[in-house]
Amino acid sequence: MLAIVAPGQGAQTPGFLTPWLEVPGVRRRLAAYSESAGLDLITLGTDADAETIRDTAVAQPLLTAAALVAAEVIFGDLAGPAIPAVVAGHSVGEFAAAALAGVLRPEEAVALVAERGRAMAEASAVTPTGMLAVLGGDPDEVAAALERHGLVAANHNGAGQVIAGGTTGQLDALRAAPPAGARLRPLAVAGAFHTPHMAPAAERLAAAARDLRPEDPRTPLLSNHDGTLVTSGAEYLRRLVVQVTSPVRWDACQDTLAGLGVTTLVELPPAGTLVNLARRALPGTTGHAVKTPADAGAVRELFAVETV
Amino acid sequence: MTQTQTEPGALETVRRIIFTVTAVPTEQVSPEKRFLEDLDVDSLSVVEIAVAIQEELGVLVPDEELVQLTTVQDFISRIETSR
Repeated sequence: MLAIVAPGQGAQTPGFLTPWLEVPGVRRRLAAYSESAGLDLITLGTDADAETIRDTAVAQPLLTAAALVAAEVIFGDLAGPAIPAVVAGHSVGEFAAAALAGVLRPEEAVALVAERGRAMAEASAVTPTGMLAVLGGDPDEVAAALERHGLVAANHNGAGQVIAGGTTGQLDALRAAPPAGARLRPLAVAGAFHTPHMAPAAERLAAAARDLRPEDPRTPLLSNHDGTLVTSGAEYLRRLVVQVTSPVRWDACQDTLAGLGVTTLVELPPAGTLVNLARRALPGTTGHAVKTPADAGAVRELFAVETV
Repeated sequence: MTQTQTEPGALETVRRIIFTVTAVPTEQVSPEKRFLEDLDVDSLSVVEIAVAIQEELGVLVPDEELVQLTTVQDFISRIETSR
């Protein structure tokens, strides 16, 4: 059983789209996605520096477009036959997942996520907030420490990895008094994503989503909200809005993937993080981090074999 | 005097720690490999590897230094310079 997953922000590196532009048709697709996003995604994915592509208003449509062009290289037109895999996205990856599953058209997903990115960048400028990775430690102690400092566990990534979100003051307080045995690592994000601090962004996303007519997913599709399979397109879209201020339960998603008997996990670009987590949370599965067109070719072979 | 030969001990130790933290098979871990690009080991896992190295070998790598360690050999060299 195959799973195809789209990563969240953090793994994008300068020039990560460059190898993909050599594949016929990709430039045209990126130009279309650039129209949808209102940004020059080609330049951003090839020439822009690390700081520029770290800006969440840029990163979100850029990552979504990257995942979609890679998926198109592997599977062809996403409006063609349904992808024979379980589909899931981590955080912003849920927008690419929406298009992979046929809930939204690819251009719609990019336009919608561009609005999410702009709105979250603006919400991040209201109060100084941020996120911090908490690695290891006793899970109950970590949870208690977050609560004590008024922080939210914004991401549950499994494998002992929790991402805390809150004001910079609260994060500093946690760093001064870390839970026993846990190592803390600040994340280079503009704000406390997946916490109530992003409420203004959720409202804007809700407004942008209002006129969309989602289709029901054509593939099994997981939700970050609780790791369950969502069979209604309207429900998935509603959850995309809710998730702006709600924790990412990637741990629950991984549990569901295990329960479904997933044996192979394919991560779209910028790949690595989810394959890394799966090595520990989903032992016995094989991970494929798709970073280049050559990786895409290898994955296409995989699917050809599995669907026979 | 510059050490030109990697001690087998340091490489084996780093391989074992990398496997414990990330489940990357030891045979895939060679000195020139980069954590992110070649092994799919992201920056948070590199932090965990540093913690394990500290606990096992007593070698402390401060965060500012950690961001500069991008290959397996970087860790090996760091361990060897502290001996």
